[in-house]
Amino acid sequence: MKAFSDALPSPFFGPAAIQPPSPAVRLQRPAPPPDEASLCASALAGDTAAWSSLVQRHNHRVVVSLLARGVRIHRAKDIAQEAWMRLVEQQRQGRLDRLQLPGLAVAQAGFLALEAMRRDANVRRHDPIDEPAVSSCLRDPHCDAESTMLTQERVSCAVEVLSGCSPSAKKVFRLAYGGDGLSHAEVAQRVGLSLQRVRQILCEVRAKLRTALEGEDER
Amino acid sequence: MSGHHATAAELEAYVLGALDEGRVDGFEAHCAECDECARALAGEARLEVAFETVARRPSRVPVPVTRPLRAAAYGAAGLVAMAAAVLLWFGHSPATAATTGDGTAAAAHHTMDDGAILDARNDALDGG
Repeated sequence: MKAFSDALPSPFFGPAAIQPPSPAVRLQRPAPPPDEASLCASALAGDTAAWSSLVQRHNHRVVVSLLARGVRIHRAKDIAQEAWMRLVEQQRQGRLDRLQLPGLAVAQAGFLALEAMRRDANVRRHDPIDEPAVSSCLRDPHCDAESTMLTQERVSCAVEVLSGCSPSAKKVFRLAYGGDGLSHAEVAQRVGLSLQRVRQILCEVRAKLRTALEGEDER
Repeated sequence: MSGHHATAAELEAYVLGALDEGRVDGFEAHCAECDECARALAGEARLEVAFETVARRPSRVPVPVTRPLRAAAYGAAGLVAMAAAVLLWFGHSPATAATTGDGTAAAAHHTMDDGAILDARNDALDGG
C-alpha cells in the first residue's frame, strides 16, 4: 500500500485529493462539474487533475468489483490503487487510445487480482515479504467463479421484476447501473430528484431484485 | 463498529457508497478481520455487479404476438368461404338463366316430375 502511494507521481490518492476547498474558493460561485467525456479527454492528454477526478469518481466501483471476486477490503483498495497507476502509466507511454471508465479500471484491477493469485500460488517463495496472500481470499469456496455466476434465467427474472417497477424507478436504476459511471448525485441531477430520494429508490429496487437474483443461494 | 457485525443496511450503504464517512473506517476495519462480514460484503458486492448486468439488459417491450398457425387457419378458412361463395354463385346462375330464357320446358318438366312423385305417394297411401 505504501509502495503504491510513494510511487504515485500526482496526488491521486493523497490528502490533497480529498481536501475540502479553501474558504476563498468556497465563496466563489461553484463551477459545474466537468462531464465524463471531457474528463477522459483531459486525462488522455495527460491532465493530472482530470485523472484525480476520475479516480475519485470511479475508485469505489473498482473496489466493489474486487470485493465481488472475494478479495478482502484492504487488499481490494490496494489493487484498485495499483490498477489506476497502471492506467496512468499506460497513458504516459502512449498506449492508451481511449478511456472508458469504470470498465477499463475494473478490467485492469481484475487482471491484477488474478495475476497476484497466480504469483502467490506458483512461486510462493518469491513473494515479497509484506505481500498478503490474495489467493487465500480468491480461493475462498464462497467466492469462486462458479458460485458467483448468475444464471441467465435469474437475470431474465430480475429484468422482468425491473420492468414491473415504476418508470421513474427504472430510469434511476438504469442511470445508476447502466455503465456510464454516473454518481448518485449526477443521477439525481438528471432525473430532478434529491440525492436522498435517488438512494431511497435504488434501495427499493435493489430489495425487489435481490430476491430474483439470489434465488436458491439464500440459505 | 469493530465490536459488532455489519448490518444488512450498513453493507448495502457501503456498497452503494452511501455509508457515513465517519463510519467507513470502522466498517472496513471490522470487515478486514471478520470472515463472516467479509463474506457478507462480498455477497453484497456480487449483487451490485449483477445489478449492472440487469441494468444493461434491454427491458421487455410488449411486442404483438404473431401465431403463424392461427393466421394460416384464418387464411384457409377465408379461402374456403370464398370458394363456397363462388360455387354457390355459379351453381345458382344456370337456374336463373333457365327461368328467364328457353328453359321453360325444363321448368315444366321439373313440375311434372314433382307431380308424378306426389301421385306415387298418394297411391301408396291409398294402398295401390
